Amino acid sequence: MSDHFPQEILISILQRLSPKSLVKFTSVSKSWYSLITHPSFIFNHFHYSLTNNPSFLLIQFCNELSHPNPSLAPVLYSLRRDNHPFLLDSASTLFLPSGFNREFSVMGICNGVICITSGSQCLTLIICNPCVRRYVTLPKPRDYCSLYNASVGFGFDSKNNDYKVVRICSMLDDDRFELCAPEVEVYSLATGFWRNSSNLPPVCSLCYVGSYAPHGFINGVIHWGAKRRTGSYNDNGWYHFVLSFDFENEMFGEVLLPQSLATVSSDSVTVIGGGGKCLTVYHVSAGSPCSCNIWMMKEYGVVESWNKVFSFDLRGFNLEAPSLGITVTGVTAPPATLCIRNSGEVLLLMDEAGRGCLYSLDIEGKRFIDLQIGGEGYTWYLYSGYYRESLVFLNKANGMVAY
Amino acid sequence: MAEKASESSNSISLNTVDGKIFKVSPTIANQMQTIQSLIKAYDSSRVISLPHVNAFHLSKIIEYLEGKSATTVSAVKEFEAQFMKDLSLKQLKGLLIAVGYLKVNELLELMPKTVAKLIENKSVEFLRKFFGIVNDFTPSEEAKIREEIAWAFDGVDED
Repeated sequence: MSDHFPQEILISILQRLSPKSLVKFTSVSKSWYSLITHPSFIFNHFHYSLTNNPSFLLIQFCNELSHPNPSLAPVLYSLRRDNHPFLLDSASTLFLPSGFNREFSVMGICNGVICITSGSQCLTLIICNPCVRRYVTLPKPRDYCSLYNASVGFGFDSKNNDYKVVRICSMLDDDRFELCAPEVEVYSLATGFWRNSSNLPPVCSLCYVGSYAPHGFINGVIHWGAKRRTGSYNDNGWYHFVLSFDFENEMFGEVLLPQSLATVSSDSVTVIGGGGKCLTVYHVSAGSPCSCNIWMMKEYGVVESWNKVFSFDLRGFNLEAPSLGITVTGVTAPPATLCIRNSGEVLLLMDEAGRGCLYSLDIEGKRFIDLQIGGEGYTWYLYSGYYRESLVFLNKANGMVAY
Repeated sequence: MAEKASESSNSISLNTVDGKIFKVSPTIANQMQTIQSLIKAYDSSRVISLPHVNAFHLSKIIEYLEGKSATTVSAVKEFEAQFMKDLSLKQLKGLLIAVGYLKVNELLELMPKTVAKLIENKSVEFLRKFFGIVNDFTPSEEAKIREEIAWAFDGVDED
């Protein structure tokens, strides 16, 4: 009787192990090293995890009172199991390279790899897999002498098996503001360089993109809320739309908003989700009383399929949800919507009498659940997205550093 | 009753490497893919030889398949846990090889899960012993690899 394990059974055992154990077991023998660091094993391990292991919701926020000098307040994050009671996962703290442990912002997560920036304007960027403790520092992207807003999106080009970062800079140069086209650069891990992108379609060539991390990953395409001038600078008229970027062909596109939403001018319209479900935007009207609306696009790209699915009204310091018959008191600002959970519920961060409170809104089930998580003092939201452990980067690529 | 009688008359004989003959029902035999294809290829009245499976492993596989079919859905987890608990490390390894050869799909799902749980926090030395692997790194190669991934050796269980 053979004493050797059939390879397929061995793989079936190993793909169930955690990345940490597998990193340790690369030192068993040369053949195990080759097996575990092989791209096809890394791929299969991740796909096994997709269907069999839970993913975590990474929520990053900043809390003013935790530090005497607000501008130096450390950024906090938490990894939580995406279930009800929304438990903190203490085992999954992210071990980041030194220099990124205190002050950093997550810009995107993809296949267990996290894109992190520190400092302003997204000039210092790394992509990192904390599970295998490997990272790459990106070359410095372009800096501009005028005032500008930078937004960074991170994703995977499955056709070319390449991780990419797109950086959009909207110029805030006063008198040229209405005429400026955003500057776009795309970094590819395979080449190790930033490249200027000239693939802005004419409709998006004169637009403004906020500095938040883009949301809404639908089939490898990310989305930002964007706007462009309708009249002259003095008219203060804006036309809102959703700007998309496809990591595979590096092309930008425009997703139209319904007319009533596109022309809300100085209101805020942000993309809050996609993630395999429908593209979702959050609209907060200017002025008082202020209305906060969640819109979903049932069929991607079909402008008629936009549907307003939920509304809040903020009157004075009372947040009212007419369809739920609920009033929350002591609310000083419109809630920030973080993301759409896998369950379809919407996560909201609300400043309630000086306390940051996290809520989960179940639109279909008409429930508004206080997750009993929050911090004293003004808490502002930075990033939320799904994170899942992986072995990606274990087979060293260009410029990869172990830490 | 009639079905049971016809099953026993159709029973399939399996001859293990250590010369023991097992008579199993077609329902049980069909849950082992390798045997299923042998039944199709040969006359089912013939004794099927299994040169890679010994009597202990075959009896365990039959015990699992019969036991599971007699267990209510709600008690399956408990039955499976008890079945796995009764096996020593050496038995677990041998049984897994037999299960792989006979292609018993249900055990091919359950057993790797059990083994994975067992080895998750074990030492590299434990794994080499369990899987019968010879360390072919030179001492300096091994030291270099271990140094780079020293963090992954935190919290290893005792063997």
